[in-house]
Amino acid sequence: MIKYTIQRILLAVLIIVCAVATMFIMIHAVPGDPVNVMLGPRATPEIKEALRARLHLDQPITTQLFYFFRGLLMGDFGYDLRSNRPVLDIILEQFPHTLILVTSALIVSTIGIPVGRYAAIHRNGTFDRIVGTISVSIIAMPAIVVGLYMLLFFSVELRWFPVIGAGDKNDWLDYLWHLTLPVITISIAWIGYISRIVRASMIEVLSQNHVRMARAFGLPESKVINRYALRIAVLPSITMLGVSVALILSSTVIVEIIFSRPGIGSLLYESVLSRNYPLVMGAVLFSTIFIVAGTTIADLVNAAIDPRLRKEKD
Amino acid sequence: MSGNKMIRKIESVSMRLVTAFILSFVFLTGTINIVRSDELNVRLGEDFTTLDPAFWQSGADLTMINVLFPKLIEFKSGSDWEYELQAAESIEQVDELTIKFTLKPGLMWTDGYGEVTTEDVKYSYERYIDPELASPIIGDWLPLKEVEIVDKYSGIIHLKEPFAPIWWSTLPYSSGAIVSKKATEEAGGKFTTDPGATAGAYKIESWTPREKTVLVPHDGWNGPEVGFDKITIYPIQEPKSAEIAFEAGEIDITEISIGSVPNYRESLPAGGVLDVRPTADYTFLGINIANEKLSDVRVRQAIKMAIDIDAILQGAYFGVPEQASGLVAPGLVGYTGIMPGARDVQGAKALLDDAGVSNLSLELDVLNTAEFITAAQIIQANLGEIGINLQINQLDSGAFWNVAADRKEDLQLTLNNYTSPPDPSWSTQWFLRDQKGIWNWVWLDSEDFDNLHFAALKETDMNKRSDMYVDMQKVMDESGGFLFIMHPPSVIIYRDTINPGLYPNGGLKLTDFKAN
Repeated sequence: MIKYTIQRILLAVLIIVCAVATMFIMIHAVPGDPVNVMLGPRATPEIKEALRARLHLDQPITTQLFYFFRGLLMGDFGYDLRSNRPVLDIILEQFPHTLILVTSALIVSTIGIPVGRYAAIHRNGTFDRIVGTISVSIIAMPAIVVGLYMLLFFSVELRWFPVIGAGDKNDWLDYLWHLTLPVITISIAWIGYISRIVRASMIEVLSQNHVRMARAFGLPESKVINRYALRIAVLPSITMLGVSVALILSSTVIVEIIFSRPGIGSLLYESVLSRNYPLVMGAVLFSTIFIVAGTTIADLVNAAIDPRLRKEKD
Repeated sequence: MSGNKMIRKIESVSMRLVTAFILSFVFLTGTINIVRSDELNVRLGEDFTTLDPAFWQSGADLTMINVLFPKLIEFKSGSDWEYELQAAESIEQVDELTIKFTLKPGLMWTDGYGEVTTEDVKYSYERYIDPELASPIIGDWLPLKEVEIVDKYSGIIHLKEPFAPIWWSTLPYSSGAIVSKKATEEAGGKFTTDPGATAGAYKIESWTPREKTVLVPHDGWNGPEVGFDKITIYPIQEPKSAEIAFEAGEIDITEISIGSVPNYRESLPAGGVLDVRPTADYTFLGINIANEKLSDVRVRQAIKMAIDIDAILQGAYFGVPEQASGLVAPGLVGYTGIMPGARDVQGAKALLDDAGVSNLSLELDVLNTAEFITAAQIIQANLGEIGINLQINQLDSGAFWNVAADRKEDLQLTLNNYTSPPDPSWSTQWFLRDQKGIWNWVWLDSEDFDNLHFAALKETDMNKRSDMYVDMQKVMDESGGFLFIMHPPSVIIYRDTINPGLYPNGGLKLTDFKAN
């Protein structure tokens, strides 16, 4: 397990470096001039050229990439082109909001596991049919539609939940209050996905020999279900949750904009539009680390649950 | 942790979470906090990033600079561009090169930086022309020679040459803002989000980047009494979210999209007031004179003649704005009021025949917003009627604003929106010959236009100045490179419990907001 863990971590580091380098080249390849972002339309060409030189934008892309990685190694993420604030400060202000949003959405998404388990055990029953219909419906709904209708119903009509912002960080109840609708918006489709996967997986596992054997030995049904069936059936869901970190993170862009929440998603969106390269790269770096960490953790959890995976890798 | 335990843990956490949500739902049930009458909640489209008046960029920056820093004179809120005294007790143009002013005593900087004096005024204005500052807005003060200090409260602005925009886009605009000499020097001569000291009607109590800014009255302010004990500014990027926040009672005033106007005109939220104001900005179709396919003026005139502006205003802008007569908006010096001729498809076809042009294919570059894309599609259909095949290139803002630098003379048609304060020189400056390929995307190349622009900057007789801008617009029209569509309106919705301070273009003048 230790060897497997080290391998996964090294691979994660390599993925992060490659992803960030690729993104760096891509963002510099698309049209757009960050100097215009900093100086606005009325700056003289001389002022623009001087700034371009200071930011190394007049250098080849490989040289710029070198400066970028050298800066990272020295803990220098650069400065926001507009406010001139350190990128790291801005990212560290924004990232916790996204981290909490994504983590909460992931946790809430696991509601799909007991739902799928129950539906599989009571296959073709009323609960199974209702859950099946609702799951398919909510999977098909884009986050932007869910979010807007959540706001219109719960915030405008009922006035139960707020529309703007993340709430007061020093007041957990207020923060939770502001978090509720965004989390539901993101996780509602995932609950549907995961419940369908767990249900399908459970049905398949329940018909396998080892489960029939366990029942034949007279083990309690709860033990058969939880220990011999669900333990196997849940593996695809955990893998999917790992992968879903990336998808959930991308949906935070929409959700943070709709709910006017601070966070990496909306920051990235604004920065890309304004070609604010240092902020884009800072946001991409943190997002990549988060996504790679999510998939790595999912792999390690899978390996912990299913010893066969460890043995295969070892 | 064994696999079994982990599964049970996941289930347990899930169930606890469901319970927590249900409990919090029950616990929190109730209405959201209704705004108190002495508090104002305002939406801006983005957070401010630069408070230094010499480096401001966005509308949010401008709104904050206007409320945080005093100016000698400031635009009045209302529907006409008129200024009033703010930090100045008196101000007088003695001659074309000399402006005398006297400050009101007793205006204090925050954070113990003392009183606002002539020294601060001198520093604030002269720093623009310091090459080391490298202000991109140096043009606002380029004719400045010096600010002479007479005494603590009195001074004289000396100009190198007459400069008419000083009363329209310099002194009452961002470049007229007075910063604290001591605080700014301590910050190294310029600043971004921390000015050190401010002296406007309100001061910043707290700023949570990209979340909110809280303003409270500045007790060292010696101007008219402010209307609110607290103003909270929320940066909300998406207009739809801002509209929802308004309807949910969380904000008191917001700009909304033009697309929402028909709905709000039909059914306004209870207690809401809709206010549509024209701006000095201008939306136009640019036709690149330097492009090979468009080098014949008859082709350019044919394109202009074939386009149905009314259809664009109805289809893309829901009939909210009026058609523009030219570059200069109503109410400003140089407004012509002469509308271009009606659409003439046959005339356009005849011009193309005259020019010997057939099977023409062109490209139109536009921003990828709903309004621009709809307008572009209408133009595409209009030009299709005269046999021009138009390809629409939808670009995000980063790419769009660089398109002329990338494509230069290959650029053909662009649908553009330029912003402008209330002086026409701000608009004409973009179409000078030295701006070709920078902001002059039409490649207008007119010596007459350039001469008129520079002469109008120095002309202090308003009637003569107005005639010059009328002449400049004639040059633009005759070039065939410009089809002005509208001056985009600013659409504001606010609660009837407040009396908002709005500049004539709909910009927020927070100093003047009052509770009803």
